[in-house]
Amino acid sequence: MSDPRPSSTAGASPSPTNTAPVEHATEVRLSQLLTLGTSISAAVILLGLATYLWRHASERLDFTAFRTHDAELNTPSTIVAKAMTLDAIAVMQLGVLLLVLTPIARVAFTLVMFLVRRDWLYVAIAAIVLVVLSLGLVGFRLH
Amino acid sequence: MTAGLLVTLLFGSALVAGFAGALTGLGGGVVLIPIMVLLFGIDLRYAVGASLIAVIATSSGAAAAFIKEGYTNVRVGVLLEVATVLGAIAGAVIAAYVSKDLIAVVFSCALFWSAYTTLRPLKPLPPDTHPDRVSQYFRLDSEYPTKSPDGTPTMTAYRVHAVPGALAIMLGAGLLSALVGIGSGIVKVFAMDRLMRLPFKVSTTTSNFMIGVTAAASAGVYLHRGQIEPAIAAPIAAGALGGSLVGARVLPRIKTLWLRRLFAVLVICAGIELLRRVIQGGM
Repeated sequence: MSDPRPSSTAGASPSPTNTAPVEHATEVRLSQLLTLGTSISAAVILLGLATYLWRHASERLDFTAFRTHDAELNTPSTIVAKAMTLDAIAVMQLGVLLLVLTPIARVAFTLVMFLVRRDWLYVAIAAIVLVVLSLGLVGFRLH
Repeated sequence: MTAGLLVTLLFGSALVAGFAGALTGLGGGVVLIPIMVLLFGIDLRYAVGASLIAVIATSSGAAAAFIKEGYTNVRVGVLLEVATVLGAIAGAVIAAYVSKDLIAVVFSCALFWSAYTTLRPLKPLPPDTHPDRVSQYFRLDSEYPTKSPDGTPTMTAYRVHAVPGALAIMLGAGLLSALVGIGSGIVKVFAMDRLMRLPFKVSTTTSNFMIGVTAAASAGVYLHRGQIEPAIAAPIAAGALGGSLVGARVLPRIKTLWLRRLFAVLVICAGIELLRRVIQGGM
């Protein structure tokens, strides 16, 4: 893995506990995961957007009032099912859904990264974030 | 408005918001909401949902570059995430029992004050200062890319301070921002810049790293309520992603003083937007 950062110079005098350059290599994996997630969702969004504009560009849209739209667009499983029929709006929503999942995957991957480093303190911290995050999601669903 | 025109306008606005949001670590939602509501006549509920998507796009798009270049302090990010997610959930729980209008007015005053203080930078603490015990325990001290006086790129070490205070601020102010739905990024940058004394570019990029998670945590609710409208969210996501990638390329070249000015402008926008919602009864 190439490291795009310049190396530390003697004048910068890093602290004795500074292990940043070594750890940076694993953090680059994290950035690759984000690139992967955003690239896939961008591709799906652009596909849906292009199809949508191809068919509906001259239609009039009005979002001045909030209406409950097609409920199939509101839950992950139905979004996937509808996107499979190549419905342009559902494909756009699928891309948006993949984008939302990217940071959540990032948190999970951060946990794995600290596990690989055997950095138990941060394994615990990342686990707390993940647990609280999922508790929050579950709690909200109950409303 | 025709679908073609609306999609183009949304894409263009999100391009600008993603650019500014990636540079400042704020995600750019505060710019997008007033544009969508006031200029394009979109209902606030759709606008809030779409701006959440813009924040996720900006965060994820730019974070890849910021981590690779070594700006983001991943440890600080993960540690502060504990406080943000707890604050966000506590905010959601007590939301029903408090006067949002009052909180919004107080919070917007705090925003104007933080915009003012951001323009009066504290010097980052040099590496030869006495290390902070808590920061040492969590191994937060790190280094980030700078240019040496002769223009060659180098890494500069920095120390991290006042971790318990920063966590407390993030929890408290994070709770308030969750209540009013604005300003979580501002709280993050403020805590890292003023209390932890991180270099400003480290503060903004580390905030950028975190805001995607904060936004994704509540995106599920908005999706469920039907506030994520594909015809709005898709062009916003695409534009914000594009803008954030440009912002990520510009950050290493931009002077910190200009970054602080841009940050202050966005914070003032957020304060005004908050007051506007109180007056119009949109809280």
